[in-house]
Amino acid sequence: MTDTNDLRRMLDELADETPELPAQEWIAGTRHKVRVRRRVRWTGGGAAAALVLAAAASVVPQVLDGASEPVPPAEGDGVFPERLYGGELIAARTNQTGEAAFGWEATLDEPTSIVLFCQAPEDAQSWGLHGLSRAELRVVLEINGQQAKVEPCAHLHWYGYPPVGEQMVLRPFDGKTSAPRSRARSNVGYAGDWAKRYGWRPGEPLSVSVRLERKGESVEVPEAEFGVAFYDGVRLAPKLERSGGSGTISEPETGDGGPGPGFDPRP
Amino acid sequence: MYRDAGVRPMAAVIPLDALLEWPVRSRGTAADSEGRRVEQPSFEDFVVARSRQLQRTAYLLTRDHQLAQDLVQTTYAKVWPAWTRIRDDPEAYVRRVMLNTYTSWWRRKWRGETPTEELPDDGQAGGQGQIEDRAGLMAALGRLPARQRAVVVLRYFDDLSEAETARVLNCTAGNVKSQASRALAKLRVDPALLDSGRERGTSA
Repeated sequence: MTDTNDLRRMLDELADETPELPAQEWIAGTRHKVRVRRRVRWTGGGAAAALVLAAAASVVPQVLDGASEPVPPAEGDGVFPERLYGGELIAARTNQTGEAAFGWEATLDEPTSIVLFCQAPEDAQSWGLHGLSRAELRVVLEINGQQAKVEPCAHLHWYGYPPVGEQMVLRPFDGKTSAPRSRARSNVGYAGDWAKRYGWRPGEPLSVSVRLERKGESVEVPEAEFGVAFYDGVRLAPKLERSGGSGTISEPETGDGGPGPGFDPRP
Repeated sequence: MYRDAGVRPMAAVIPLDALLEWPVRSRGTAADSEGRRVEQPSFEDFVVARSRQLQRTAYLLTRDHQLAQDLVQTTYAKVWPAWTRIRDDPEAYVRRVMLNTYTSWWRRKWRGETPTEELPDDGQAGGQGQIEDRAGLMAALGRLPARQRAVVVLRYFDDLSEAETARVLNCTAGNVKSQASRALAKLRVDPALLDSGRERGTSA
């Protein structure tokens, strides 16, 4: 090397060894990394939001087809605990990179609990909009082509899971304060109810789809993560106990109930 | 619970084709630090236009193709959520984030670096002299402290001015000048570069 021009030439030649990657790979990789970062932040106690909807099931759902093995959770389902109130995770799926919506079709022999999840940052980005307040974002659950639930993708929500025969009550739950923010009646009832409502009978395929929307229109939000899971054997509902304006979710009534180890629904 | 394979993907609500098409939209205008309206590229436009150069810079800093890709990807993941808030020059901002990331990796020793004496034969085209130049420079860069290496790359590869380099590295222009001077002094006497220069001089 004799001078800086020589150095410039050599640096240029050395840099030419770099293989070129398509822009789409960079963008897809960026999305993936952003989502991983969000997830890590959330599981680490961040202020992401979760929405959990437990559609009712029988007290102890039985597996009619004993030969079938539980389907391994799909890729990217790390947000769902292995056990939830005594139930075991059968299968789960979260949106993958580039997915603004997804659907599943499952053949169920028994009613099961359906858990819906969504998290988004306070100021979300979307490809169609420059900025998006988390409050505007909704996650939509459809069962057999019918809209079953539309909920804000914000804060942490636990939805109660009552025994068969009781009307299901949604219990939005603020994870930070353990205080109920509001109460709302669900249009998804216990197992027999939602089965009839959405035209499902045991043994028939059940289609579930999940998407994000804003003001009634589907929207793609790369930072948002949403998913759905099937739980088998969920035994008890978390019960909201109110006293003096504060609320908590009660412990399960049997010894082996409750969320699985390591899972804390609160951010 | 499931009769067969259990859960099967079904048609997405939004057509797959639409999902595969990444909407590349113009970011429109944004106000610069003095309130003027300036055209800003979208993130996608920026990635298309600048990834190659950023990757080349990252390779010179890390001296490893995989680390270089990881460095650029990590940088994108950091800047993307804030993209709409970036004012003035996005490239300077991205470059600064990348250098900060590189520095933090180096400080944490996540990417323990060892000077490279020889490069494997990658089968790329080029005369013997060029290959030796590259191998010599790679080894010499590896012997520079990370800060000096960054100054060399920014000043003599990215052709940034001392002031621009100082902004990226968050230091003074004087500091850039002194770091560059020290780095050049080391490179001039580095055995790997002395050898290649001597051979090139002989063969010329």
